[in-house]
Amino acid sequence: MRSFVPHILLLATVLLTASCGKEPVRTYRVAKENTAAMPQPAPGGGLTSVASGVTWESPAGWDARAPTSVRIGNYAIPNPAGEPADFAITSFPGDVGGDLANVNRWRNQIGMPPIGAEELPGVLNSITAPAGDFLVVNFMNPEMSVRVIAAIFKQPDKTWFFKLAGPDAVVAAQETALLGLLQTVRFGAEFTPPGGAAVASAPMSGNTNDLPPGHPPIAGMPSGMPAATSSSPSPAASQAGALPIRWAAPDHWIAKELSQLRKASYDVHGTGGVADFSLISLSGTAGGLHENVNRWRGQIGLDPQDAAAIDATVRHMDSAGLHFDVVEFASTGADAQRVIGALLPVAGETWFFKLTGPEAVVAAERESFIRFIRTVRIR
Amino acid sequence: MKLILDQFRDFFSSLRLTVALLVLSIILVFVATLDQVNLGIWAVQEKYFQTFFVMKYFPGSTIPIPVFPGGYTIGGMLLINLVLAHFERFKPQWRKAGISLTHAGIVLLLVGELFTGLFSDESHMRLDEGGTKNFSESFLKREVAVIETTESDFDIITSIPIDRIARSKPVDVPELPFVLRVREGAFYPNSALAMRGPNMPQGPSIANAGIGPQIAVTPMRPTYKPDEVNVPSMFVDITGRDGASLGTWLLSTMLSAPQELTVGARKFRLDLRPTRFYKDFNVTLIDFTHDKYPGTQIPKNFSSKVRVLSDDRSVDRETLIYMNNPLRHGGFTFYQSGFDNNDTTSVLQVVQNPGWFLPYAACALVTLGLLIQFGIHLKGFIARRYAKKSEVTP
Repeated sequence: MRSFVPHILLLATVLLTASCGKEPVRTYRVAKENTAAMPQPAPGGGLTSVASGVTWESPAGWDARAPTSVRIGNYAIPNPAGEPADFAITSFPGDVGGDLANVNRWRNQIGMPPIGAEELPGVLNSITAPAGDFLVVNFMNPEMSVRVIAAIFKQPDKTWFFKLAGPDAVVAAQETALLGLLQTVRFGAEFTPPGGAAVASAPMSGNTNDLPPGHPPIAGMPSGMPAATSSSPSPAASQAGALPIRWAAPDHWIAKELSQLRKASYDVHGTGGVADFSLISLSGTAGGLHENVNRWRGQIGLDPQDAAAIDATVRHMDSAGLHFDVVEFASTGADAQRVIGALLPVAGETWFFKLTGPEAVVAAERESFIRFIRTVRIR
Repeated sequence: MKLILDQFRDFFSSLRLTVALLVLSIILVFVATLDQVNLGIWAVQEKYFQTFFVMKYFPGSTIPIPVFPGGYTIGGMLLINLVLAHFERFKPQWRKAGISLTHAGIVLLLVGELFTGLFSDESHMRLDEGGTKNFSESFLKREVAVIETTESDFDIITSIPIDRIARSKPVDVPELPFVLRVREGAFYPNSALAMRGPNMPQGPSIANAGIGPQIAVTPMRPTYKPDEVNVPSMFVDITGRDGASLGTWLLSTMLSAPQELTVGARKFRLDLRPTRFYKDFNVTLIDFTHDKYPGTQIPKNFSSKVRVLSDDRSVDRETLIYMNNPLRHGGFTFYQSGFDNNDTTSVLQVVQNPGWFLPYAACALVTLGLLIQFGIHLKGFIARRYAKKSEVTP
């Protein structure tokens, strides 16, 4: 066998050399693609333009976000008291269902009932700007303290939407800024995108993580932030449209991969760690409130409680015709954990909304959690 | 020389080698199976089987050390061993033709697997209804694409595999007027991105150009779950040929669009994206259909009606892709793989496997060989039985 040793060594050297080969750098030509480049955001205001034939000037203090395949303009308006407001510029072919459909979708998003065609003229305000006439709507839902101000600009072949939505206090304070932005909007080929590249206005293909303007959010999709950890579409995500309920998650929650069970799944970052939000539906009562609460208590090392003790801590919440049982409890110690959960019976199923993680993070997200479940609607 | 060849032949045809290789393959499969817990199936395949050696990086080192023979080595040596042993021990005889054919089939199967491992590519094509693409994208591989958009008729793409750039060594491509280098310690195999804002106090960004300064990057533990995808991000220093810095850029697969960089009169776009495989034809999704069983959400059928148009316009046809009815065109096979976006996006799996016919041929050979061999035995058996009967018949 000893005589084989040099041969084995020779073979090993050859194979080793072969296995060390890395993929080469390739250079090739392709036909030009109709994709937009990332616009350079203009922090603190300034002219912003994109490769979509539109320019505008963003107000000072609005934080530019990366655009998405649908959001040509994408901003967060900081809110020292909580959730930021959200501003998006989008455009779509045709009239996207007409004014009434768009207005009612926006109303629906903030939990307001639809209006009839006869009421439409009363809510549409026409504003004249250098680019032309914008139709502006302004709705506020006092129950949820949320407001949406949206402007519609119609062109022969497409419709542009400028939508500002979020906490009432922030949105109302930014109304003047938004109207000012509309005055700076310009359309047309004479406005050169940054870098001078003449690019067609087709939305980027391949990235479908956004929705038409006014479309109710789909489970698992963040509303525009480039902030998901994993992006492979799962069957659950794909079929989210078939779920009996819909919801809108806070913008700062980072969508993550769904699973067979999870209909929505988010990472919630905060000071001291990351909390996990899950939305699961099970048939029937799935053991009922007490059993599930005690299961959750066990997950963070708490002893089970009897039914009376649990009932005493349950907060009953009604929203949009739905009844939620909301519970909250926390462990103590160095690795203190907190759970905020809600149970919602819908159409023979029970939906479990659960936010769990480091005590401080979950406690700080209590309001966001409540706001989340207030956005839940029956399809 | 003859002595050396004899030694090679003796070594590679030895049964001891067969046993040793089988033992090594058992160990390899066992260890790889255990490691699936940590790495998942894709990474395990790459680390243990689709390689000549299983490599290990010692802590603090970037030099790979081979620690065990990989699947290609063991499989390749088994193949050589099988072939040589066959010629060494089996003499050509008609009555052993079946065994020879069966062995040939197994050899072909091994060759086919090697061929598939080396030359096949699997990717996917996501098409929105009405959308057209002339490229598919890799499931796992990522590339830094430097796209020169200076010319009005075409783009010039320089594709740098992520493994090539990740180790913080300069990537100097003669066609480019700059050199790229990942900042030391600033390559994240998985990450989460969020816009910087008042509610997210972060230190200053490493990036000073493009969208990077606006974005906070949080490194994440890489995921190896088969249904999850890592989001690699990196900060890349770009230096001009004259030594001047062209900025530090954040590249991430999570960024929604390429970033623009101008060097003199030349315009570039920078993008970190799934590795693309361009075709010489376009595929347009005309319609996607998702049928469900009545009254349930259980999928019954998915189908994509597509149009295939070759660049030279010699092929222009419509076809329907559905389960078990893929589209075969230009050496690629398009399978219906998934759907998304409220049934308006179709996901097609694109497979390019030049050796796709080898397993079929191998199975046919094995079947034929076994039939022949059993036939020969059956014939002998019947002949013997007939002879016995003749003996006892008065």
